Amino acid sequence: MVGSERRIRTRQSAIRSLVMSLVFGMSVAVCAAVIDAAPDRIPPVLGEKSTLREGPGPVSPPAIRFDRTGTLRVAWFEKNATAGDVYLLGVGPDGRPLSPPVRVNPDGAEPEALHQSPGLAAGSEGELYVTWSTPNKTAGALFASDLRLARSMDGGRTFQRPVLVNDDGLPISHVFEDVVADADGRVYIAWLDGRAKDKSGAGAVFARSQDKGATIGANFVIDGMACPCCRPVAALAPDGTLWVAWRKTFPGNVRDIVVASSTDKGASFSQPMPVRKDGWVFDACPHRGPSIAFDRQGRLYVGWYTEGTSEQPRIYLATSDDRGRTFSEPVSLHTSTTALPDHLRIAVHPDGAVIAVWEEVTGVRKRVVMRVSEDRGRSFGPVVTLSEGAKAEQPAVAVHDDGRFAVSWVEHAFPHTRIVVQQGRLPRGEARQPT
Amino acid sequence: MSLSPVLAAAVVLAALGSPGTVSADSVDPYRAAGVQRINGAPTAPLFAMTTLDGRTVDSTSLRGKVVVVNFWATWCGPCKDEMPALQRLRRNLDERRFEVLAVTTDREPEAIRQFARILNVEFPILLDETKDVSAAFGVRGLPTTVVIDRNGRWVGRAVGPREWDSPAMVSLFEHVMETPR
Repeated sequence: MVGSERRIRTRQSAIRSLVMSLVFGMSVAVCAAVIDAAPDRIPPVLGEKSTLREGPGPVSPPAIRFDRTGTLRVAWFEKNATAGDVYLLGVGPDGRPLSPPVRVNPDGAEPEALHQSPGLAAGSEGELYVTWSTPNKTAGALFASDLRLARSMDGGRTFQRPVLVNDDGLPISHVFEDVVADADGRVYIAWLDGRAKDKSGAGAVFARSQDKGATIGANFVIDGMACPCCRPVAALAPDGTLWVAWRKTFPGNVRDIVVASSTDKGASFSQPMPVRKDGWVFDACPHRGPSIAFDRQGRLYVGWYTEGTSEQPRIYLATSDDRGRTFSEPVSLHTSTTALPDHLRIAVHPDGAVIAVWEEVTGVRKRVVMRVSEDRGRSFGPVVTLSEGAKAEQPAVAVHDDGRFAVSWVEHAFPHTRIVVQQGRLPRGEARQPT
Repeated sequence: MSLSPVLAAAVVLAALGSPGTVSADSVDPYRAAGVQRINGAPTAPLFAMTTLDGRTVDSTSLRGKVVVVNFWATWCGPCKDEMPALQRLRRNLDERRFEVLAVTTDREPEAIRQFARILNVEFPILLDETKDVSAAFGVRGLPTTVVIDRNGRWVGRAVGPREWDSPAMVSLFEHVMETPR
């Protein structure tokens, strides 16, 4: 019975995805961007840009995910003079909001800060999970915060009261989190907090929920030497293994990227494994975490920022086919000689197409650009500029199994700020089937 | 906030492309203090920013003073750790010849006020809401602190927290204050 229900749901999901794909295909057919591509490359098709939110108040960077039905979900924080809120929105294939934004947080659980996006995950049965930090107002504590997880069980129409994720009761910061959900109702959260910090300023801490976010299990430290302001990220491999990546502080203040895996559904983790020995010595807060994803063959993709030993910003993508024991020689994604790269994010389609987005920064301009790989990260197509304003930053990217992808970012036209989203379709999208 | 875009571009490229080196001289006060000396001492980017209490601070009005500009954020733990030392440094030096400015890109005045209140920060906190000034100084991590001499030249940079009131640091600022105009 359960199996048959699941098959029906899977079929319904596939039909919904197909319908949305057709609608999307029609919507972008008339506005496909012309991209300077190499002769043997078919460029991705880009739809129109949509502004999801615009106003004078500050907003956070957006988080985006495709949910089970193929609907793009966007979450962000915004603040006015007195308070702040967490919002979630569904976006149609034409880029238009499906409804007004839904407020995620109840009164008294406003977001603490706007410097990063909320955490956002979609469950296999339509659940949506949002995480954020709320101020901990213990007298005398400075920037103390508590981490919250809220879930929606009705497709994002309403959110239940959030549960507290950190279990230490300490008036310290609990921030820089990421959240993923597996197919069996488990929710995994990795973040940084100061309770177990060694000499680095932060520990990479982990907790899981085994009941779709209703309750949270005991916290434990994955690494007591995490870089204190670089957001860890989590992802699930096709075999169900859970992976976390973060920037670790090595002796000498070397800040390089590591990964660790959990083969027991988040009960324990392996020792951290270095992605590459960049040797970036940085005695400060880079505020630049890694980005990870998998394809259906289990290849692990890691994207990251480093300044290596030369003080020159670089963004790289490397892959591992042996569960993180070794990584490929990284591909340098940045090609400009007049701008610096920053804030790389990646999304990987199950068949190995990689969408990489990042900021290109000069002294007077910041824009969001994209490159796509169709050969499992070995080579990338040309750089495509997505943003139009002079100041666009903090891009996020998501891809759906049917070949659609979405990029969202923040644009500043001071004093106004807007969240922009642009959807597209991978090259040869018609050949990409939902898995 | 205002900033000359051309000047900003020129300065940031100079700072990022060739950030300068620490002198090999063992008695170099910059080296002793752990502050990177900026080779060539380019003119510092000009700026005018609003303070937390609504005033405007124009960098040109600070000519004649040695100015320490500390870039920080509320989410940055090391920034929080070093701020008391900056406060002590400011108290220890002649305010007619020395100024500390704290610059943040945070757009959360209440959190910033709380920060200033708890740490007894007395120097101006400036709001770089557009991040233009941070970009002009090539700030890629926090805390980053730059030193501007009495002539408005960018002479030093420190990435990461420092003991700002250490004897070596005080010696450095006395050295910069004594440098002829």
